[in-house]
Order: sequence, then C-alpha cells, then structure tokens
Amino acid sequence: MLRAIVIGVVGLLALFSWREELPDVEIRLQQRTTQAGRIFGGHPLGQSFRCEHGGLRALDVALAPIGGEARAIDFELRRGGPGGELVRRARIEAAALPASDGWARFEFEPLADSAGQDFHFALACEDRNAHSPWVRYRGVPYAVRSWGDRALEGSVVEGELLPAPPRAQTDLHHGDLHTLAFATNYVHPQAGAMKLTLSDALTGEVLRTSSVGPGIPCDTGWTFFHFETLADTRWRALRFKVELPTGASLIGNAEGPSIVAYHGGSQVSGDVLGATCAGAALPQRDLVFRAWSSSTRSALLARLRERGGERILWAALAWFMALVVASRLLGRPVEGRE
Amino acid sequence: MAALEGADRRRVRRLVLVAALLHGLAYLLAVAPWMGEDEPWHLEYATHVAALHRPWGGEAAKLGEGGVDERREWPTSQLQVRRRMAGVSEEEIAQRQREILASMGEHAYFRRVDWAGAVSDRTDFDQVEPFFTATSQPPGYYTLLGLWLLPVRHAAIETQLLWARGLSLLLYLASVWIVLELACCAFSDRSLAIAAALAFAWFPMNARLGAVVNNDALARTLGAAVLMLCARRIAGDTARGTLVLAAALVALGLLVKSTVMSLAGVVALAWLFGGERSARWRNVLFGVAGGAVIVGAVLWLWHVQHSPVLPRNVDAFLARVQRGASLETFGELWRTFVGGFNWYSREFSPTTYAVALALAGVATLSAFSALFHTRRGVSRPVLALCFALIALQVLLVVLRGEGQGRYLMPAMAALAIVFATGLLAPLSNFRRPAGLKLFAMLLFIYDALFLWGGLVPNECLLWGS
Repeated sequence: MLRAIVIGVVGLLALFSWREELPDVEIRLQQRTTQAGRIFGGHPLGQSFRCEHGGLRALDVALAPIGGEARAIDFELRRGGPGGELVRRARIEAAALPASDGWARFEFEPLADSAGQDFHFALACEDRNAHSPWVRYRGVPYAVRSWGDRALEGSVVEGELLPAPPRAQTDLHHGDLHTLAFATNYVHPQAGAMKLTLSDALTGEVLRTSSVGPGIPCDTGWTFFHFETLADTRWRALRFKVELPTGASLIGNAEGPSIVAYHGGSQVSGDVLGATCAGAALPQRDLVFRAWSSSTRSALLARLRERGGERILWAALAWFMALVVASRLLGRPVEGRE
Repeated sequence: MAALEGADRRRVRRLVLVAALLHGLAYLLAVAPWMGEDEPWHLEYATHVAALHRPWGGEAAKLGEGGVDERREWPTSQLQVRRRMAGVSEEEIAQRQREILASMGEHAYFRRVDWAGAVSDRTDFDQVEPFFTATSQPPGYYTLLGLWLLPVRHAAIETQLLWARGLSLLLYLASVWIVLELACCAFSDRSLAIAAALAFAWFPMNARLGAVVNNDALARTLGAAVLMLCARRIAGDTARGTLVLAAALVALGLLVKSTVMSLAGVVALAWLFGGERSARWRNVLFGVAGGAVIVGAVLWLWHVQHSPVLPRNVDAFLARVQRGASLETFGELWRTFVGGFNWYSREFSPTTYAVALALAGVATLSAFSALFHTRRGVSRPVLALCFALIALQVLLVVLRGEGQGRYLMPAMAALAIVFATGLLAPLSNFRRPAGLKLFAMLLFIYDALFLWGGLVPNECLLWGS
C-alpha cells in the first residue's frame, strides 16, 4: 500500500507540474503555413479573444522573420474589442524579437478581473517590419502550391485549378470550396482592391467573385479571397483570375501562383473572436497566439473536472487499485509464507 | 532461486491478471473518445462488417472509364470503403463518416490533435486526412471486431466505440496472460518471470493500446502467442501441434496486419532449431520451400487487397528503405514507442526520451551479453528467439519506411523478456527479489509520468482554440 501511495504522489506531482504550462487560450498549429505579412505603419494587426481565468498576465504571438529590417513592436491590450478601454501596453525592441520562427512574449501587470471577459490586442510598428504574425484561417486547408520562390509578373494573373491528371495530385480534393489564399507581395495600404474571379474551366461561366481591400495591406503574406461556398468542387477544373493593384504581385513558382484552398466548415471554439487590421475585422481568421492567466492548482483542477469529468476520477481509482494489487506481486512466494 | 510454479504460479497469475485488468480499465477510462491513432477509420471499417457487409468483393471506383470519374462525386476515402465492402451504398458510407465526425467534433477531437486543425465541422474523412483509409488493411481484425460489435450495431457511435475498445482490453488481458506463460518458459526464476509480465502489462504505450480501437492490438496478442508457442518448442516441447498452431496463428496474423510477418521468421527458427538434430536438414528444405510459398501467397494477397505495404515499383521500394533506415525514422520510432500523445502530435521532453534510451540501451546490452554468458534462470535459446523477433520487427519497420512505435507491438512480449533479463539477470539470486522491487518501482513511476504527466494533461488540459 505504501508503495502505491508513493507512486500515486508521483502521479499527482506530474499532473500538477502542468500548472505553469497551461495557456488560458491557445491556437495550436503543428504546421504553420500562412503568415499575415509585414505589419505596416498605422495598420496594426490584432486579435480578439475571451479569457477563461482571472490574472491575465502575458500574451505570446507567433512571429516569422520574413526578411528586411527588424523593428520594435508595440503591443496594446484593450477590454471588449478594438475600440475598447486601453488596459495594458508592452513593447518588444527589435533586438529581442525572435531570430527564427517562434513566440514573442508581451508581458504586463496581471489583470485580476480578466475571467470571462473579452479582450483585443494589437501589434503595431512604425513602418514595414521584418516580422510577420502567423495566421490560422478557419477552414480545411489543402495546399495547391506552397510558398514559391519568385514574384510573378503582371497585375492580372490567370491560371487553372485542375484534377489529376494532368496534375500529379488534384488541385481541389474536397467538395465545398469557400476560400482561395494567394501568396502576395507588396499590397500597400493606399492601394486599391484586389479581385478574384473564379469560373468554370470548361464553359467559362463565372461562378464566384471576391475582393479584398482597399485598406487591407499585405506584403510577403497570404491574401484570403472568401466567397459563398461552391459545393461541387471535388476533382473539378476551375479557372481563376486575380487582379492586383499597382505595384503588387503574386508569389509562386514556375507552375503558377502559390495557392491554398480552404474547404469545409469554419466552426472553432468560442474563445477566439477573430483577427483585425487597423481595427477592421478580418473575417474567418485568427492570429496564432496564446494568452497566459492564472496558474493556480484550482484553475487546473477546474479544467480537469470540466473536460475530463468523472471518468478521470474513476481512472485514478482503478490505476491506484492496480498499483496496490501489483505491489502484492513483489512479496515472497506463497510457499515461502506457508 | 525459486521457479514460478504450483500454487505460487496460480497466485501470481491471478494477481497479474487482476492488476492488469485494473490497469487496463484505468487507461480505458482515461483515454478520451477518438484519441487512439486512426481510431475513426478502424471503427468505420468494423461497423460496416457489423452491418453484415462482407469485407471483400466491393465495387471499385470508376476513374475516368466511359467518361465517368467518381472522384468528382464521392470523397476518395468513401470510394476506398466501397471498394472493400460488398453491397454497401455510398450514402451509407457517407452517413457513417458524418456520424463519426460529428462525434469527433463533440468530443473536442479537433482541439486535441494539433495537426488536424481546430475547425470542427467536416463532412467526410478526407477533410481530416486526404486519401487515407483503414480499408486497405487486411480484413482479419475488422471481421472479429465486426462480430464483436453485432450486439451494439444499432447503438450510438460512442457506445460502439466504447464496446470496440472493450475488445482491445480483452486482447490486452489475453496478451498479459500469454506473456506470463512465455516468461515461465524463458525463466526458471520467479523474480525474472514476474518482472517480464509486469514490464509487458505496465509498459504505458502497450497498456494504452488495450484502450483504443486498432488492429495492432490483435497483432500484438498474436505476436505474444506465437512467440510463446515457439519458445515452448525451443525449450523442448516436442508436441507436433505446438508449431502447427504457431504457424496457423501466423497465417491468421497475416490477415490482420502486415507487421506480423516477422512472426513467420520466428516460427521458421523454432522449426529449424526446435526439433531433433537429425531432422534439421530436412527441416531446412521444408522451411525454405514452405517459406517461399507463404511469402509469395502473402505478397499476392496484399496486392489484391490494395495494401499500402507494397511499394509501387523498385524506385519507390528503395526510397522507402532509405527513409526507413534514416535516423529520423528511428527517432520517430523511439519517441512514439516510449510515449506519444494526441495522435503523436505531442511528446515528452527530449530528456525523457534520452533517459529511456540510456536505460533501454543498458538493458539490451546486458541481455545480449546473456546470450554468451550463463545467467542463472535464463533460457538462452528463448532469449535468442526474442532477440531474433525484435530484429525482424525492426527490419520490417525499415522496409515499410515508417517509424511508428505501435509497429513494434508484435514483438512487445520479446521486448519485455529482454528488458527483464537485461536489468535483473546480472544480479545474484539472493538480490533478485530486491531488484524486482526496484524494477517495478521504476516501471510504475514511468507509468505514472506517462498517464498523469502526459496522457491526461495533454488530452484534458491542453486544448487548442
């Protein structure tokens, strides 16, 4: 029994060692593929979220260095939404920003009353910076062509999404396409709108159009063209035409522009409330971030109770009883006792 | 040095099985729904069998014949199911996938598995993993599971999942019992036999396999059974039926999973070295001829079953071997064998894997030396057979080109024997009971760290948004 109790304590310690490692909210992506692009002066990128616990004390934002001059990032935290009360500020100097893909931590005086409240944070730079926040778009991604190695010529880029063959692998594997993301270079804040026209490759019939901007800059990032879901896109041939404002270009390779297609639904948990650019909502997407608040044992147990339920308690009981029984195997043989 | 026999053996067997039952139940309760790797696909396959669809003779997809490409109409994962199952309609397949996906969303699968993305509303399995299916696997396990599911085939999908996991628990218990029998054959020392049984029952990823729906659970049980029978033969059991039964289990195993191919090698070794010396050359001839026929039959079977095990051409095979023999593959194999969580999307700290590697290295070297130096209470031929099985299992991983810990499970019993030998056999007989206590404590601590420091926090505490 003593042995089982000792092991039980080890188990409890192992569980409670997670206290410091549990973010309040976190967007977890094993593979980050789409970045927002550089932050332009006067066009901060932001994100709204709902805090679960009190004591909000830090936010980590996933940043990717994409070349150019590193600049300090100013952080603002507001209550409610982009226009809400400013409650905390922080700043990371250029030299302290991650040198490779990683988290940048913005720490501040804890907010005791953060439990259950909505917040919005924004990242601002004086001018175009070398670090881009990662973005998670709400959909089922299917990479047609990953980030390319060249800027494609021309302000109008046309191409096709084709099944296999002729492609080695189909460009559209799923049935319900609702967004196409294109890798984009230097769409200035003052530039005009970008436009996507999607048509049937065989008949030429225009199926969907979508536009982004004006006022939504994107440099070395992905531009997401959202449209009403096209239900029958599986293994289908579609033709696209992207019209770009002056000075902008698409990124791609010899085969065409870099594209990620998004299918399926868009439901995510209710604690992430969407990304913003200069306070305007960027639909269907979130910056990749995590928020840190209270790290008490009771917060951990509350989450365990809520998400694990009674079955975890029963599991613990069965596990402890197993240890008690197994410990009896370690005694002397039965003949020896007799 | 006391052997495990008589009343003591019966008592130990009872205690081991009760402890394993409780331990398996703990994992059954702790592992959240759909958190076994590929569990949705395995259950999908079995539920169609439970709906009395034959797992062979389905209708192949039209990929452009007569101007019809069915991939435009149906997701490839559903066409692959139709190719396997006779008489199942596309609507039925789609409905089952939607049912499972809804349950996965409800049970926060997409918040737990980091590579799956957080979006919870999906319409088909391709939207979780494109081009993937379990129906390219041989039908053995799914036929058994389908029959097991018959009483609950009209119940909610979560009930069917829980019931299906119950079969895995039974297979885990059967494996523990078999390993204790194997240990009694490998060791004439009580402490070593108990250590091997505990190592098997308490190895966390093995216990976890007893709580999820996966054909590796049956492959592991068959692996233990074949090894036990062959060990008996090697240890002097001359009954003709022993090897016949082992060979029959291997044949059955090949209808379960390709990873049991290693067991054929073990049966061949037992055939060669387990009989009388005068018959060895005859055995060699029979073994080579029989082996060639069996391998040919198996390759043909896998080919007609569209098994992903077979490479498409020589180049693909060579690329696979190169990938399989790489350090990355062995690293992945080790990490997912020692402990991987949330569909291998989360891991222990690198230090944990390094410590486990050091300990396993010491145990393996020590056990290997026992092949050449007498260790009291250890059967060297049985130990050699265990090493042979482990080597064959690793070779299969290399040939397959994918390093996932559960592919080692057919050799899990052999690993338990090696581990117990390596850490306890060098001790004197007098010190072995104390060594067993330390061995068990280390095992229990490992299990505690796995369950309460890994599995439960990752599945219940850390969700993506």
